Amino acid sequence: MMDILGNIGDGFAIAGTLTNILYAFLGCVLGTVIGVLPGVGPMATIAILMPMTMGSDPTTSLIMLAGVYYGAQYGGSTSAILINMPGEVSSAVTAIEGYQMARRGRAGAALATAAIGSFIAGTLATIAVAVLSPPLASMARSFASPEYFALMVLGLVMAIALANGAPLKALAMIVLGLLIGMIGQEDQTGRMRFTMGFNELADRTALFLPLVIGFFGLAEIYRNLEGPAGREALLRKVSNIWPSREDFRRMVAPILRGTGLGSLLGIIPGNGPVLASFASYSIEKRLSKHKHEFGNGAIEGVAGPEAANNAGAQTSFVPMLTLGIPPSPVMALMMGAMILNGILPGPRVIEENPGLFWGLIASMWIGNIILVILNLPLISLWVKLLTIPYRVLVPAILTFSCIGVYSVSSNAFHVFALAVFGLFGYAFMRLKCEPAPLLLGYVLAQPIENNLIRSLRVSRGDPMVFIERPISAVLLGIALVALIVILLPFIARKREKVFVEDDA
Amino acid sequence: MTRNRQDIAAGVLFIALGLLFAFDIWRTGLAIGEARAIGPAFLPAILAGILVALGIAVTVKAFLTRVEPEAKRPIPWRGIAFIAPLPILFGLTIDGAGLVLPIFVVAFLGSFATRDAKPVSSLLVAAGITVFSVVIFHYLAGLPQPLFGPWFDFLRS
Amino acid sequence: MMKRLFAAVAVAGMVIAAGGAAAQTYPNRPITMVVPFRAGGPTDTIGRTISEAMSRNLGQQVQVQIVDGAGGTLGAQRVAEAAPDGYTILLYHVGMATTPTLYPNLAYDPLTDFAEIGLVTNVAMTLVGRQRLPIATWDQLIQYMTTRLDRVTMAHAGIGSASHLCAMLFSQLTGLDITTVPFVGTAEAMLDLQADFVDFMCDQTTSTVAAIQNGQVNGYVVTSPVRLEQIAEVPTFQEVGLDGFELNVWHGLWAPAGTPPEVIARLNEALRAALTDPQVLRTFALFATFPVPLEDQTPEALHAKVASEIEHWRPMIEAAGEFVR
Repeated sequence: MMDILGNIGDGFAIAGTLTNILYAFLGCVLGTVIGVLPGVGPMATIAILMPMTMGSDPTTSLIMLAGVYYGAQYGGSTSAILINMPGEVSSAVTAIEGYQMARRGRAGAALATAAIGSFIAGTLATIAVAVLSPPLASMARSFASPEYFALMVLGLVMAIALANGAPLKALAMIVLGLLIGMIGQEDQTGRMRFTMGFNELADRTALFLPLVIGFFGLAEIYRNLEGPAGREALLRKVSNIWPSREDFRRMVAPILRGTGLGSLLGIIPGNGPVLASFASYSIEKRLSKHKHEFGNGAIEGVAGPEAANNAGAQTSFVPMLTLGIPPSPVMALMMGAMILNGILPGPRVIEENPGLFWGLIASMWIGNIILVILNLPLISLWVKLLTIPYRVLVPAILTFSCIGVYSVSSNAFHVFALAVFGLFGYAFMRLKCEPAPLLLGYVLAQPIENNLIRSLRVSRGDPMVFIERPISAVLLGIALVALIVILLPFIARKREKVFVEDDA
Repeated sequence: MTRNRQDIAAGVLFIALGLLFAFDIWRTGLAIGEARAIGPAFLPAILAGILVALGIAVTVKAFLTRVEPEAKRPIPWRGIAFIAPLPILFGLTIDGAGLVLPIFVVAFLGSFATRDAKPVSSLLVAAGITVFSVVIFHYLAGLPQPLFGPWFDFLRS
Repeated sequence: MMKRLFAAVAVAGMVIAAGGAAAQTYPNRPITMVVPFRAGGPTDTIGRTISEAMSRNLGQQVQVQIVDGAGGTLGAQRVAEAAPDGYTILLYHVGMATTPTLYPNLAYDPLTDFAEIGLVTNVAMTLVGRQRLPIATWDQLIQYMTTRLDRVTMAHAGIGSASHLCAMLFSQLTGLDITTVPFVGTAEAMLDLQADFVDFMCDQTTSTVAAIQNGQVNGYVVTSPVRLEQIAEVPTFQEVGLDGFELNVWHGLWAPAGTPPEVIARLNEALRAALTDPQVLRTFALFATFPVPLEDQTPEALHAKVASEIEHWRPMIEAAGEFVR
């Protein structure tokens, strides 16, 4: 324990130099500025800004890049809450309740909740990373294809709980998301599926950003354009920017639970942080005393997922730094940046480059402070953005989305997909089919299929491989129990004939 | 109380999309495979089947239940007409024209999705968005796309 | 009449002068280096490393643009169709020679639609196994594989990836029909290898050197003719007697066909300069790769390489089964 304290002390000595704080600040600001632009997700933000961070001392440039990463996530949550434009899956969960809060004139409270939740989660997760890195790293090593498959199945089950409306339609949306995730090049044989002859559609994960923007952002714009006013008069009173005492009381437990979930799932390579925010949402929905508010702006639905998201973002550094295995595309980018800076991530980074390792960890916390200092005062400014007339906001959202989508792969087809998904997203919105389950289905499609293929190839077609391995068996067991728990109330409630309040 | 038309439409849409995927599996002749090497059609075929089944379930359930009638909502044709084609326009021109022109055109036309857009103010808005985007993405972030692409090469000597 | 002729000559003269001036002043704006793989991957890393050094030599920024998808063919297609003015170039690897077989509907011809600039680097491959395998010698390895042929698995990083090619070559040379297990990228495969779920993998040193050094996996053989300094304990293919197991992930630089020869020459010069740059060498050494020998840093060598490699891989890929359609 003393070792760790000493190490963290050294880390702060490194991260706390004026230069490094300056670069962390710069990274946070740039990340926030680009990340808050609607339609530009963290992945695009980091890819865009990565070259800028090169050239200085490796530790400094990584600290800056990490700042960009946190800033981008913060920015992403901001646009998710304000205009229903999440830039990644985990902030899509924030958008569910956050945007509803904004529609009710509580944008400020939602943003403050997100900022506070992220800060607390970031602080605790930093400690978790420092204390638990070595043991956690070995935990990730007991996960192989069958375990990932089981974990993804568990994630899908949780997606049903996301739905605030009819579970049948939510289930159908998950399946549709899985099917959209099959579009592209199959990984075992290399055959193209559902690409209509266009190799441009080969990448199975690239439709993600168009899907998010289309189903959330564009659909919402179309909905707002229904009325004669051009936009619903939701912003007449942006009352009390700050959360009330009652709000604070309600956000504490969700934040702590979200932090725990996020820290744990973030370590697991392959969509850990994503699952964390989804899981946090469904847990808060079950535990909340204000169940009726879910779907209409429940503060727990912002606090929990945001905390989970941020904690996961932090701990997902662990597998990258300690195993040399990036758990997400964003971490792959960070790893590339490390190599360019002359550091090959792996178990020896801690020993050979303690300054970098502990400096980075200390800078995580510094980054979180910078962001909270930066963002809390900015909330009133962000909220003012809502008063921008729609004839300015709509073209701005459109252009930023096009640029953001295009910049990732320079692929025009992904921009085309934006148009198609926008129309589909609007159609589904009118039919009261929620987009979040579809999104999770899409994200999990490729890993679920590939882990199934691999498990069965290694076991020579024997499905017992999922039962014989203890972790996989436990996860599948939990999934089964969760499925029963989730579906039971729906079955029981049928008799009561509960009226699901519709708002959309 | 009235028929749940929303759910009927949703159910039919699910069925149609499920059949569409199923048709494409058949059209491209993807293999189902075997347990030790499941083919590219295995999971999609199952999923398409489930989607159709769920679509049928949603439709049937909708026919059996009645809901409160809802206020009719207009379809925002103007918004759709001025928004949906723009990403396609952007995608078709960005490689050739570079950043400036597609951004300007998309921003200009996009503002007409709203009813209160006027040509002059839209021009100003588009110019503002273009300058902002160029500063942020080109100068600040250093996006590799040129401001004016190969289509403008004839202007360069 | 005379006037008109005079005018025509004058215009022609100006055009020639302008052309000459353009070549002299090349490059006068930033150059885009298309990297046809994900940001952060090994090819992107190599691209960003050399582009920085080339920028210094050319006096103009060489910017990396990611155009990924379909095994790198989308990026290659982009460059094949770009204006042949030297402002769009491509960094690509052995995939240039394997994709013509893997993707029958390719929109370009790797040999005629590009003007080669030169080879960049050769990355050697390593056969690695999971940590707990009870194998110390090459003979034990072969014996292990032979006796458990129905259970042994070899991971690869995706259809047509270098590790896939290596697995195919290994099977062919040893006559052992080992079950391959597809992953998306090396990182995923490494996870299952370290979790003792799959047995072997053959991958680029860019991905394996650190893991071997750290004892996360065992290294059995390298495909380079000499042992690698960073993992000196791992024998070469010749030492273990697996003739023909020489396999390199070579990277090259291309421009669109029709690019003026003097522009190609200028780019080649910048490439050569980059390949002696100390910082480039340092980054390359991190994952045990080296610039190609001097005589291979030429357009001709790259052209010959692509031509011979296409034929080298075609029968092996076709024999391996159903692929992209």
